[in-house]
Amino acid sequence: MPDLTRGQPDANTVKLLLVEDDTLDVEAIRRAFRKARIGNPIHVARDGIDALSILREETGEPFRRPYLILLDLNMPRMSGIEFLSELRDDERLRDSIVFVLTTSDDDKDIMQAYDNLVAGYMVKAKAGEDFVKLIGMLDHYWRIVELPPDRT
Amino acid sequence: MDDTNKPCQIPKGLADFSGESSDTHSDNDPLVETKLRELQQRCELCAAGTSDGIWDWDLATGTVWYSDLFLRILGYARDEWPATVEAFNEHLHPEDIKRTWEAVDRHFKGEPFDVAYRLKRKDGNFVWFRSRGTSTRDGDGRPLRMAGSIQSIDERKRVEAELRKLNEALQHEAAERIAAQTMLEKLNEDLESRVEARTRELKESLEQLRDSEKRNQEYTRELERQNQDLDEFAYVASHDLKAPLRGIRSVTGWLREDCVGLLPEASQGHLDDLQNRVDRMERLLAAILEYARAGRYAETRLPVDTGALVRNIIESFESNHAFEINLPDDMPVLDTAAEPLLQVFQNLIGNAIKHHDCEEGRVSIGWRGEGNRVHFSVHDNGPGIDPRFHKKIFQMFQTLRPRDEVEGSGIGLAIVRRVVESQGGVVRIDSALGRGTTFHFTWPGYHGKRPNA
Repeated sequence: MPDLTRGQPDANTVKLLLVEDDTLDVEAIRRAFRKARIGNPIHVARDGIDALSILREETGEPFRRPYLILLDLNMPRMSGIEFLSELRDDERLRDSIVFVLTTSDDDKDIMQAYDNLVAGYMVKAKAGEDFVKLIGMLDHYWRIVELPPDRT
Repeated sequence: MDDTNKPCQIPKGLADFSGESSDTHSDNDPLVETKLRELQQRCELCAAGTSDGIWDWDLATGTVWYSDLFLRILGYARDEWPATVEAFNEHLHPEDIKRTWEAVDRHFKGEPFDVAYRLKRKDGNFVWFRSRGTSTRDGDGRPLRMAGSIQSIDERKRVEAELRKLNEALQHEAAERIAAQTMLEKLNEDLESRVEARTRELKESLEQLRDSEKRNQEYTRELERQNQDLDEFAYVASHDLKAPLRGIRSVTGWLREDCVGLLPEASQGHLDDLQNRVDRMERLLAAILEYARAGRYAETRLPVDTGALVRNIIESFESNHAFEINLPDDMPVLDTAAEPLLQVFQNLIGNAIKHHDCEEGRVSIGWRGEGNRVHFSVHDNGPGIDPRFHKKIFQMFQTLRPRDEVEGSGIGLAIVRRVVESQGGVVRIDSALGRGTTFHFTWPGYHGKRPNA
C-alpha cells in the first residue's frame, strides 16, 4: 500500500487523521481514496476527544509526523471548534495542518474555523461526487507542500 | 322808541338811562326835549346795536313794543304784528305757554326773569329764544312795566338736541357693546368648556391609541419571535435531515457500483427508485427552508426597474426558445426590495413554462397602478387550471400531476403567496380548463415612476 513514488522524499507517507462521527462519510472517503488509488494510511477518530488521544499517543499506538487532519465540526462530546481550540493550545500539536470538512456553510462557522488557523474549509456538499475533488486536492497538497517536521 | 319818532312816555325808572333824575324837569322844557332826543337816540342805538330783539310791555294797557330786530328775527313786517301781548301769546309754542307765564309770575314775586320758549316765525317754524327782562313796580309793589330781550338760542337748542341725540345713540351703542361683550364672554365660557371636554376626549383617545400601540408592539415582538423559531426550526430540520439523506444516497450509489451484474434487474430498478426518492426528499427539504425564509427579507428598499428584473428572468429561461414571453415597455420602477419580487416572478413564469402542454407557448405580463401599489398579471395560454383546485394549489407541496413526473416540489405557489402577503399584497388565480391561466398579485412601492428612457 505505501507508495514510494508519492509523498515525502524521506519515504514517510503522510498519514490522514479523519475526525468524523458519520460512518458513511468515513466509508465514502475511504472509497474515494481507493478509487483514486491513493494508499496513504487513514486513521479515524469518532470525535475530538478520541482525536486528541490518538495525537497524544495516549492509546499506546505511536502517531508520527507527517500527518494531516480532516475535521468535521458537528460531533458529539467535543465539537470540531472545541477540538481545534485545544489543539492550538497544545505545545506539541499546535502546528498541525487541519482541513475542515463539514456540512455547514454558515459564515459564522467558517470564521471560527479560520480564527483557529485551519488550512482550509470545505463543505461536504461541494466536495464533489464521492469526495473526488477533495481527494484530488489533498493529494496535490501533500505532494507539493512541505509539512511541519518532527519537533522532538 | 319807535320809528315814527313819536315821543314816548318816560317811566320814572328810565331816568337812570339819562343818568339824571326825572324829578327836576317837566314836559315841554327845551332841555327836556333835548334830553328826550338824546335818550331816543340812545335807545335806538342800543336797540339797533344789539343782536337781540327787544320788547317793552306796558302791563296796564297790555301793549307791547317790539323792536325792529324782534320782528325781523321772526320774519314779520311791522304792520303784520300787532303791538300786543296777545300777538306774543299767539306766536308762543303751545308747550311753552304755561312755563313762560309761570316764569313771569315768579318774576313778579321777585325772581329774575330768564326763560326759554319757542316763537312761531312767519314761515311757520318755531324758533327757540332765551328771554330775559326786568320790570318796574309801583309804590305798592305791583308791576307796571316789563321789558327785556329775546336771544335766538335756536342754534344752541339745535346743538343741544343733537348732543342729546348723540348721547342717546352713544348710550345705545354702549349698551349694545356691553350686551355684545356679555354674549362674547358667555360664548367664551361655552367654548372653553367645550375645549375642556374635547381635550378630555382627546386624552382618552390618546390613551387608547397608546394602549393599542403597545399591544401592537407586543404582537410584533411575538410575531418576530415566532418567525425566528420557525427559521431556526426549518434550518435545523433541513440540516439534520440532510445528513442521513446523504448517507442513503452514498450507499445507494455504492450498491449500484458494487453490485453490477449481481443484482436482478428489478433490484437495480429498486435502487434507482431509492435514489429518486432521496433526490426528491432533498428537494423538499430545500423547499421547506426556502419557504421558511420566504417573506423574511431585510427590507432594504431601492428603486427597482421591474422591466429589467423580468427580462433577466426571461433570459435565464432561454433554454426554451420556443416560448414567447411578452411584457410592456413601460414596466414601472418601484421602491421595494428586489429579491422577493424576483422570487415571485421567477416562480410564476417558471410555472407557466413548466406546466405548458405544448412545446410553444406564450406568457404575457401586464400591470396597472392602483394608488401606491401595482397590480401585476402573469398570463399563459397553457391548459388552464380547474377552478376546483384554485385554492389548493397555493398550499405547500401541492402538485396537480403525479409527483414523479414533476420536477418541482410543489412549493412554488406557496412561496409566492407567502412573499406577496408579507408585502401586504394579495395573489389570486383566474383560470379554467382550456382557457389559459392568469395570476394576479399586488405589490407596494409605486410612485408613478417610469424607467428613464
